Amino acid sequence: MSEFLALVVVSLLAFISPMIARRMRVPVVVGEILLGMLVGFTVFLAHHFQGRDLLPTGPELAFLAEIGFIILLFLAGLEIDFNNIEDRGLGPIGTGLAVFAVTLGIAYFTVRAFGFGFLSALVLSTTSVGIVVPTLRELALSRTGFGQDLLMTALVADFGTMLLLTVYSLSPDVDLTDLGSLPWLEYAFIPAFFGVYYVVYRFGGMLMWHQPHALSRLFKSEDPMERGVRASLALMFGFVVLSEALRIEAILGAFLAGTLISLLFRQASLLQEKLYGLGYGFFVPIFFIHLGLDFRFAAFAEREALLLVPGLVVVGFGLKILPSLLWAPRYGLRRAVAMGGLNSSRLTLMIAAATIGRDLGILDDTLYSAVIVLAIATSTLGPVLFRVLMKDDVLSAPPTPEPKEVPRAE
Amino acid sequence: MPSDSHGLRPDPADVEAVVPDEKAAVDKEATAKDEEAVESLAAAQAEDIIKRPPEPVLIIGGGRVGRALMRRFPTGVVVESDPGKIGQLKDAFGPGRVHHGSGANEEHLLRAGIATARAFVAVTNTDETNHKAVRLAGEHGIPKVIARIEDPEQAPRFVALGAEPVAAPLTACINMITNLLSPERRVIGEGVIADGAPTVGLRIADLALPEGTILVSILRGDHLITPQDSERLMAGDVVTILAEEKERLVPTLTQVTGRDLTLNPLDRLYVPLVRSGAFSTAFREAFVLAQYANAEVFLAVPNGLEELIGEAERLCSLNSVPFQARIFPRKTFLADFVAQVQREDQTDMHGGLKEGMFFECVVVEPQETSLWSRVIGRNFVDRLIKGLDHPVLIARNLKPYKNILLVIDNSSRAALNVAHTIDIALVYGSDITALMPETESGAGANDLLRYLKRAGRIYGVAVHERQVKGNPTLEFIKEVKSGDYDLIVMDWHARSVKRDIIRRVIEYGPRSTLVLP
Repeated sequence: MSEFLALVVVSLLAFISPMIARRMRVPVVVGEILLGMLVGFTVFLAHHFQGRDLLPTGPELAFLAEIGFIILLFLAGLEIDFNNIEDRGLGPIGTGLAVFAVTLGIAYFTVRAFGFGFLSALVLSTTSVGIVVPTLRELALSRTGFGQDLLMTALVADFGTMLLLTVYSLSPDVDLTDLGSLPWLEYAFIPAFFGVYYVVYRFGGMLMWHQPHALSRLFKSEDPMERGVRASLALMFGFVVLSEALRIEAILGAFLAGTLISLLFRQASLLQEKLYGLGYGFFVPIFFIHLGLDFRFAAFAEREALLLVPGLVVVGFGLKILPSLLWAPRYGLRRAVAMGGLNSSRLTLMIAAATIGRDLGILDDTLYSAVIVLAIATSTLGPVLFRVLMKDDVLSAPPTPEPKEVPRAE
Repeated sequence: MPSDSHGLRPDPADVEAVVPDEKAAVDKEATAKDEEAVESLAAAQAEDIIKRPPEPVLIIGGGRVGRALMRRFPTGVVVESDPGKIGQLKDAFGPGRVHHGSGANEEHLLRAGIATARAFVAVTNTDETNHKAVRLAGEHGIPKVIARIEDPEQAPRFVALGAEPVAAPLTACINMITNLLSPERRVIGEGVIADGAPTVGLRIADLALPEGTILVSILRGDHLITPQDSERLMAGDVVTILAEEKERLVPTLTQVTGRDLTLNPLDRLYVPLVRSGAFSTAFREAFVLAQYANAEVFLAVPNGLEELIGEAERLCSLNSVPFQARIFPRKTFLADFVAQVQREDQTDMHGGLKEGMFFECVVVEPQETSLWSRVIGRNFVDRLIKGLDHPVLIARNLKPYKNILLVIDNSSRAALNVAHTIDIALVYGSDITALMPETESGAGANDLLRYLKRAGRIYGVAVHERQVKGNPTLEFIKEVKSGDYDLIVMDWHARSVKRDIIRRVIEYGPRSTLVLP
C-alpha cells in the first residue's frame, strides 16, 4: 500500500482536530493526541482480533513527526521576549530556579520511594511553556508582572530540564563516586555548544548593523522565494546537526536556534507567521497525532498501568504546586497555587524526556504510556485549574483579543 | 479633540507653554521704573489686538511659520501663493483672513490690506520673495517690517530696507517675531484644559482672568474659535493666552487649564562629565539645547576635573544660560550623581502632574563599550539609563536638530515619548519623521500617529510618516544609518526594536541619540 495513505489519514486528522478540540474545550494539542489514539486504538483492535494491519506506518511518518517536534521547540524559542527578561532582572529568574530546584528535589525523593531513578524525576519536573503562554494570553495576563513571573518559572523549568536531560543522557548510569568514569569530554561539549551559539549571535548582530539592506530582504512579505523561511530552517537544522554532533539533545539545539532569531530580530512577526504556517500547518500536528497513533495500548492491558495514572496525576500536580508556594509571599496563596496548577501542564518536553528514557531502556512501555496519559491529563486540567483560581483577577481585566494570537495551543 | 482626551496619555499640548526668549526684553529696567504706566499701556495694546478689527498684521507665506503666527495674532491676515494651501488655510482661519496671491505683487498686497497694516511679516521660504515683499512694505510705510531669512548673509540687504531680519529655526523664529511685535515683554502661551478642571463648562465671561491677561483663542479639535463671552470652555480645548508679562502667563494658564504648568517643558539639563574630553561634546550640546530651550545646565564633575567648571560657567554666563555645578568624589561619582538627579526630581514635583509635563534630561558623551565592560555592567551610559527615570541624550552633534527620527510602536510609554519628541522639535523647530513598522500598525500605534500629527499641526511641527515593511529592527538600522537624522529618539523599552540594537545606536550611531526611559 502507498506510504501516502498514512499521510492522508494524518493530515485529515490534523484538519478536523481543531474543530473537535473546540467542541471538547481542550487544547488542540490534546485533541490531536486523542484523535491519534482513537485511530491507533482501531488499528490496534483490528490487529489484535483480525491480524490485519489497517494502517501500515513506516519510518517516513516517524521521521516527519520528529521534524515536527524539532520545529515545535524552534517555535517555542522564537516566543521568548528577551527585553522583558532583561528588564525584570535576576529576581524572577532566581525564584524560578528555586521553584525548579525544589520541584526536582521533591520529585527525586518521591520517585525513589517507588524505586525509580533520576530520569523519572526529570520527566515529572517538566513544564510546558507551550501551554502556559497561550493560556496567559487568553486571560490577558501575559503582560502583567504576575504573568511574566509565571512565564519565567515555566521557562526556567523548561530550559533546566532540557539541559539536565542532555547531561543525563550523556551518562545515564553514572557512578558519582568515581569521577574519572564521567564523560568529561562530552560534558565539555555543552559549554562549547553555547560558545558557538554566542559566536553566531555576535556575528548575526554585526551582520545586522553592517548589512541591514541585505538582511531586510529576508523579511519582506512579497519575496516569492521565501528566503526568510529558508534561512530560518537552515539555521534550525544547522543547530540540530551541531547539537547531535556534540551529543546534545536535538531539541535543545532547535530551541536555541529559535531563541537566536528572537534575540537577533526582536519581532520577526511576519517571518514568524510563515514559520508558524509551516510548523503548525503541517509538521507539528503530525508529531502529536503520531504520538497518539504510536500509543502502546497493549501496555494498558495490565491493570497496574491503569492504576498508575491517577497516582501520577496527583503527584504531577503536587510536585508543581508545592514549590510554587515560594511565590506566595509576593502574590498570595491563591495565585501561587494557580501558578503551580498552570505549570503542572506538561506535554512535549515530558514526552520527549520519556521517549529518551524509553530509548535508553529506563522506562518500560507501561510507564511510557502512563506518561503520555499524564501529559494529556495535566495539559487539560492545568489550564482549567488556573482559570478557576484566577477567576477574580481576570474579571477585573476583560480579556482583550490579541491581534496576533499564537495560532495554536502548543 | 474627543479621541485623545481619555486621560491615559499626556497630551503634548499640555506640555508646552511657549515662552519667548527673555533676552528680547532688553529694556527690562526701563519698564520697571514706571510699572503702572507700562501696565496700562500694555493692557491698552493688548485690547487693540483683540478688539479693534482693522490694522492687520500682514503675513506673507502660509507655511509653518505663517500658520503659527496666524494662530497667535487674531488680526493676522495671510497671503499665500500656493493654491493648494489656500483651502486648508481658509478652513483654519476663515476666508476673510486668507488671501491668494504673491507677496511680491503689489496689487495682491493691496487687496490683502497693506494700506492699513500695522505690521508686516514676510515668512515665505525663499529669501528672494521675502526681499521683494519687504521692499513693497517699505514703500507703503508700514512701521514694523519683519522678514524671515534662510541665509544669514542676506541680512544686510533686508536691514537696508528697514526690515528686521530673523534667521533662526522655526520656534525660535516664531518667538522672536512675537517678541518684536510686542516689545513690552508680552508673552503668549498655550495649554490644554484638563478633564475635570474647574473651568470646564464655564462661560468665558465668567472666567475672571487676572488683570493683564487675555484669552486669545480656543482650538477645539481642528476648529479655531474666537472667544466670545457666551462661549463655554470644554475639556481638551487648547487655549492660547496672551499675558503682559511672562510671570503672569503660567499662573493664568494653570488656572484656566487646571493643570500645573509652572515648569518649562525642558527644565534642566544634567551633564555628568567623567573625563575632560567630554567637555567638547556633552557640555556643548547641552549648552546649545539650553540656550534654545531656556533651560538650566547642571554640571556634575568628579574631583580632579574642577577646572572644567570655570570654563563652563563663563560660557553660560556670557550667554545668560542658568548654570549650576557640583563636584562629586570620583569613586562614587555615578551613584552620587544618580542620587542627586533623583533628589532634585522629587523636590521639583508639582502637584502630581509631573509625568509628561516637562522633562529633565541627562546629556552624556558616547562611550564605546568593550565586551568585558558590558559583561560586568560597568558601562557608564548603560548604567545611567538603567539607574535613572530620565531621558538620556547621547551627544554627537552640536547643531540644532533639523530632522528627528522617532519609532512609533505599541509600547506602553510611547505616548510620553511622542510628547517629549515634540518638546525637542519645538525647541529647535525640527521636523519629526515617525517610523512606523508594518507589524506595529495596531490601533494603539495608529492613534499615536494621529495624535503626533495633530500635535504637529497645533505647534507647527512638520511630521512625516514613514510606514516600513519587514523587520522593524532592520528597517530602523537602515534609517539610522541613512544619516538623514540629527537626533534619534529611542525608547529603552521599545517593543519593536531589540535592546542590543538600541545599545549599538548608542555606541556607534552616527548622530545624537535620545534614550527615553
